[in-house]
Order: sequence, then structure tokens, then C-alpha cells
Amino acid sequence: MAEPLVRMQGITKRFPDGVLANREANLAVAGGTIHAIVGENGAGKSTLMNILYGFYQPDAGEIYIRGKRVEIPSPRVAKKFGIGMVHQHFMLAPSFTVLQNIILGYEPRRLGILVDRKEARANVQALCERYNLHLPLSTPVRELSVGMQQRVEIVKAIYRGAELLILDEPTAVLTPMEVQELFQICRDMVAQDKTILFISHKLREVLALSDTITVMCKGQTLEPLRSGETNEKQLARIIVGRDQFWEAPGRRALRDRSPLLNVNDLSVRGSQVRLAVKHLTLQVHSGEILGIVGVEGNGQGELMAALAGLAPVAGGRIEFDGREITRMTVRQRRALGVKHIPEDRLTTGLCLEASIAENLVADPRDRSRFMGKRGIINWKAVAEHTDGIIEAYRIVAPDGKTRAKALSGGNLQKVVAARELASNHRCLLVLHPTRGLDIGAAEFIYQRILQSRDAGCAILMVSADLDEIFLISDRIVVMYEGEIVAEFEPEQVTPETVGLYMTGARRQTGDDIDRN
Amino acid sequence: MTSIGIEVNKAATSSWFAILRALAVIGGVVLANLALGAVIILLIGSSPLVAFRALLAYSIGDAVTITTVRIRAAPLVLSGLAVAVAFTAGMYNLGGEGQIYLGAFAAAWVGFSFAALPSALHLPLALFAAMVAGALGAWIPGWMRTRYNVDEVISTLLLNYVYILFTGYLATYPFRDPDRWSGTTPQIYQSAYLPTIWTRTGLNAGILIAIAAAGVIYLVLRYTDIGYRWKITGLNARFARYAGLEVSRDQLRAMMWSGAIAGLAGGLLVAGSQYRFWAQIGAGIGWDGILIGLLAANHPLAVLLAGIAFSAVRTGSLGMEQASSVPSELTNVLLALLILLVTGRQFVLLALNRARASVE
Repeated sequence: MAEPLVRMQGITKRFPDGVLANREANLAVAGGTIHAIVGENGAGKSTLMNILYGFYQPDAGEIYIRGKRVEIPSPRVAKKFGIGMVHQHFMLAPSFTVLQNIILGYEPRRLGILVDRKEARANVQALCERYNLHLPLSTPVRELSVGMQQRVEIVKAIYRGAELLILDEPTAVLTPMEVQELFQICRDMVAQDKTILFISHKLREVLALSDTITVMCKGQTLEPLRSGETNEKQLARIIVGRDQFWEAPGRRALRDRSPLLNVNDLSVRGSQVRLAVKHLTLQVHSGEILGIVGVEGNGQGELMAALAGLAPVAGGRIEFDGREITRMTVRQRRALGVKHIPEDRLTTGLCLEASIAENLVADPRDRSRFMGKRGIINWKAVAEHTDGIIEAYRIVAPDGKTRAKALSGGNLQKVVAARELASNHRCLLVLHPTRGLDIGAAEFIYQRILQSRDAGCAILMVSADLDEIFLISDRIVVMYEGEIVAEFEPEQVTPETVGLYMTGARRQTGDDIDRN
Repeated sequence: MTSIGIEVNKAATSSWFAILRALAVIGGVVLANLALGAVIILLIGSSPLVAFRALLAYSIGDAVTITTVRIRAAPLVLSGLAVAVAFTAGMYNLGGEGQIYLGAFAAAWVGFSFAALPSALHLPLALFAAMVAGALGAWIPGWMRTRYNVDEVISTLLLNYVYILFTGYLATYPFRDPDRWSGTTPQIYQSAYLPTIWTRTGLNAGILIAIAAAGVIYLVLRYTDIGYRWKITGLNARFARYAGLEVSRDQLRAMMWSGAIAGLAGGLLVAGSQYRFWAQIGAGIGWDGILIGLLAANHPLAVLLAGIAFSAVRTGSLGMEQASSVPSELTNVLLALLILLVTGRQFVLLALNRARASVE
């Protein structure tokens, strides 16, 4: 076998707190191929990638590029070796144009100090054409969809001379259509002799796209597998290390129940003057999960924010359990049992600088249970409560005093879920509940959501992951440009059909919706 | 994502660790500051050794200097606490100086207006008036911030001049002591004096008030609901809003308490050492408070120590001028360097955090 493009040999990395993130991990990536790395959260995938990208230094082990032993002390050096990385959280300046973002720090110069925009534009244009990437170069990045922003990141990496592109969970934030487009981009790049290394949780995608798969488990790498020679079941078994898989229990008939959450003719403004949610009407019944699908940016976020009390309502009425809550504060809604698992758990759903315990008692109603007279908090009782939650939710943390920012993605989401589901919750607003979570953590969150459903909670779930929507929703609505354009029972429809409604290519008439 | 998950960092939540860290930072900054100061003293042709010996002698030397230090220390500590309280809730109160003037004037007014009150009533009333005046002074920028999103950094800063000139006017015209120079109110009655707790040096009870305030604020931030809300709001206001905290109301309250504490500092100036209001009574204590807050990383107990150290340096500089050829203005240079070092430290921390964030 020819010498691989990148070979990592015996990589061991121990963090200062003693956690062993990589144990003698080996990785060989052949040039001109797509190589996937899969594994549970905390298996050491990101650490290994960050070592290759020069962010971390390994305690032991060697890295070879084209057979030559190299040291990669910083991302800058990694770039010199032709290694580029697209992080899960994009690193773009929102107010800069696409072109400015791409050339930032690597601008072609004129007279030594001036940016040669013309040449920059020509260069980037040529790159885009070469890889069939269509990008609006003069548009500010903040106006682009997530999928487009990811594309900007990819072009940025290639512009900086990347031969090997590391993609950290690239599909987590994309719609099915965008995923297909991304895959095409990847294939086009490989056809031109680029190499792609990507981390993913979604086994079906991994199998569809990659040539070779390396499974990581507890910091170690297993023997690489050829995609053609394995299947989803086998992979899942290797990753989780068990045979039994959880399956969502069946739906239940709810026809006769009265709606708990009643949204009538609701309008919400977006970031600009235009309406992000337009005269929207929907009901969620007790014991029902209503899945909302749509391409990102079609008003789902604004709808949920308005229901949670975080965005002002421009018109219409929200009723919960027979009471109007349209103008209620977040605190009042929470007191009624309206809980919220937000899209952005890192800045909205959690206070990363605060401890787990402090995060768990953020809801004023929850905190009041631990308060004596004069507003003194009984932190000892909070600590006991926290220990109970850590155990019940199997949160991996030394203790409740641990700062949230020390937790991994799955554990962070468990803290959010634990807080929102801990006390009386009668309505749950959930956005992308398992985004970025591994199989184990995702199953856990599903189970909790279903438990709440069975207890009679009305659940409204927004997700970009159609698999997830089909897995647990009792009813599905499609949002397009701020309106509900279709409604289905999950059995009646395929993800592909739903996709057509998501992009606005199709739309149910009023009669269709009534019939459903 | 998983990469940060691996770092486990629990020591940082321990408050002892926070105090030690704050002390280490203070020590490092002071040392660096002295080194730079020595270079400057050498450059102007004096001996750093003589100058610093004088600085030391006059700042922590004999009982009398201890008193001068500690008379200043109490208002300085309170001024630093005012900054720390607002900052904890995510608000910048750069208006301490003006609020001190308001507090000082209110205390003086109560002090010279009511003749026949018993001391047990008169002094608390004067200090209470000082707190109310300071709180009202901070309410304006706080309200503008929470209601109209007017940046409180600017509004508190500019209102300093409004308050200083307004109280100056009051002391120059309606409430001037006709027997004294312009800009001075009558003297307060003795019933409004702070009691002396150490007769040999004349040390007054102000320092006890400052210590108590630091302790109470520490306990409030650590154990009470409002302290929790302030802390969470200051760390992540978006999260606070999401979780159902009433961010605007809490921030406005923090601002008013901050103003009240600054006002109390002004009250102590009047009741503890000046015994009247005059037009330059604040003497930059409000500005020093911002530095003290920075130095102590807004930890109330560290503010207490930093405030006392700060007043020692301020007092010592006067002695240094007498004992060596180094002008007392050099302290201003030293303090300016201190500002640079402190803000530089913040900058380095910021850069480190950015680097960390980019790993995520």
C-alpha cells in the first residue's frame, strides 16, 4: 500500500486534569479519499482532530505527512502542511461579505499595503468554479443560511491551501437537501484530488459518503473499516459496544383530547421589519408531540421564541390551558409549566461559567423550593438535588460544583433537559434536542421527552433532523416562510415528500390541511 | 465539542481559590508597577530606594499614618464595592465619583440642618440620606439603560460632571457657609460625627462600616437569591432572560445598590473626617474605586484588601515627596502604569479566552 497522506501513530493525549482523551490512537488517511471518524461523545475524535490541526500537542506519538515526520505546533503550521478545518461552530465575521471572510488574513496585496480586491475576487471566483461551489461573494455572511455559511468555511479552507479538509460534524446543522449538496461538494473535491476527513454521528451518512471509516472508542482507534464492507447495524454495535437498541414506542391515539396549547393567527417580527411568522395557527394537545420541520430560517425559531416569551408578538393570540399567555413574561409562563429546551444550549440554555447546580436552579419557580425566608438559598439542599439529577441523568461530571463549560455536548444537553423536565412541565418547547449528540445521549433525551409526553405534556419540537421528527412525532407540520404549508401524520408520508414542502416546491391547500 | 468536555475545572468555583488568585494578581501587578516606577525615578535622577523607603514609611509607618490611611481606606473600599456590585450584575457604574458627591452633600445637609437630634439617630440618618442620594444618582443611568438601552458606560461617566457641578452649586449658593470660603457648607453637628474607635490615632468607625459592607456583600452574593440572580445576569444575560429572571429589574436594582454604596462612601467622608461638604471633597475616590474593583476582580473581600492597600499608596506618596526629591505626582504616574498593567492583564485573559473559545 502506498504511503498515506496523513499517518498518526500512537497518539496519546492526557489533559491537565488527568482525563486520557487519546490512548495510542492510530489513523491513516489515504490521499484523494473520504475518511470518516465515528464514535461516542468523549471518544476522543475531536481531540485527535485538534492534534492534527495543531491546536493540541500530543504527549506521545508521531504524525507523518506524505511519509515525512512532522511537528504541528499550531494551526498556522497545519495550514502550511495543507491541513484545513471546518469547525462545528463557524468562525466567520457575520457583518463581513463572503469574499472578505474568505480572504481575511490572506489578502492579495497591492503596493504592499492595499488589498487587491479585484485579484482576490478573481481568485476566489476561480476556486468556486473549480469545485462547483456557488457563493454570493458580495453578500454579508449573516444573511446566508447555515448551509451556505458552511460552504464559505470550506472555500476559506481551500483558499488557504488546504489539501486535507477536516470537517467536524458537518451535517449536524443541515437540511436533507443541504446534506446532499454537501456530499456532492465533497465528491467533487475528492475528484480533484483533495482529501476529506470528517467526524459524524450519523451512520447512514457516513456509509453513504466515506470510503474508509475509523471507529474511536474510549480514546482508542479500532481497525479501519471499508464502507462497502459494513452496514449501519454493525457499525452501531461496534460504537456503542452493545447489541440491544432502543426503539421509539408507537404513537397513541389522541383524537378526542382537547388542545392544551392554542396558537391563533400569531405573527412575529424577524430581525428585519418583515414578519418571520405570518398569521400562524396551530394546536398542540396534551400527550402529543407536534414536530415542526422546515429549512432553517423559515420562522421556526421566532415562533418558539414567541411561545416561550422571549420575542414580542406582533399580532394574534397564544392560549395555554385556557388562559391567554400572549403578553406574559417568561417567568409567568414558566410558572404555568411552559418549559423550553432552546436551540443554542451554549449561550441560551446554559450559563457555561456557572456550576451545574447553579444551572439547574435557574428557573425562579424551581429555585423557590430551595429558598428560606429572606431569599436565602439553601445551597446544601441544591447540592443534594444536583447529585440526584447527576445520577438520574447519568451526567458525567465530578460533582455539582463543576462548571458547565467543563462538560461535553451530550452532558450539557442533559443538564438543560434535567432542568426543564425536573418540575411541573405541561408544555415543552424543544428545538433540535439531539443536535451534536451521540447515539447514547440522544436515546436518553428521546426517552425523557417521550416520558413527558406519556405524562400528558404538550410538546412542540423543531428539528432539522427528519429522522428525529419521524422517530418521535405524533403529527408533523411543515413551515415555509413563516407559514404552515402542510400537515401530516408520520405514517402517511415519506421524508422525501416532506422535503418538497420544506423547500416551497409544494403546498397543501386549505382543504388538504383540514382533511388531515 | 468533545475536546472542551474533557477539561474538568472545579477548583475555579471555590471562593478561596478566587481570593488567592485575586491576591496573586494584585501582588504581581504591584511588583511590576514598582519596578516600572523605579525606572522612572532613576530617569528623573533620584534614588528609587530612598523614595520607596519613604513611601513605605508613610503608608504603613506609625500610628498616625495608619489613621490617615484608614480614614481614606473606608471610602475607597466602599467605592470599590460599588463598582463590584454593579459589575456582578453586568453593569458598569463609572459614576461613583458623582454619586460620592451626592452622598456627601446629602449627609452634610442632614448633618447641619437638624440641631437637636441624638447621635444614635442623627448619624444613621445622615448616612442613610447619603445612600438614598447615591442610589437616586445611579437610578437615572440604570433606568435609561434598562428602559431605552442607553449605554451606561457613557451615561454614568458623563453624569459625574452633572452631579459634581450640581452639588458644587448647592454648596456655593443656597447652602454656603457665609463665614467660610465659597463652595463650602456649614459644619455638621457633632451628633452626626462618626465615633472614634481608637482615641490615640483618631481612627473612626468608618473602617468598621467598610469591613461590614464587604462582608455583607460577600454573603449576599454567595447565599441569597438576589445575589444568585445578579451573578447569573452578569455572566450571561441571555441565559438569565431565557430562564425567567427579570434582567432589567435586577440590573436596575444592582445599579441603585451600587449608587447607594458610593453615596455611603461620600457620607463617610463628611461624617468621618471633613465634617462638612466642600466642592472638591471627592478627591478622585470614585475613580480609584474603579481601579480597586479591577484590581480585586470585583470580589468583595479582595476589594477590602485592595482598597486598604490603595489608600496606603496614596498616603505614602505625600510622605515620599517630603522625604525625597520625587514629586507626589509620581504616584499618579505609578497609578497610570497600574491602570495599564491591570487593563493589560484583562487583555491577556481576553486573548486567552478567545483562543480557548476558538478550540470549541
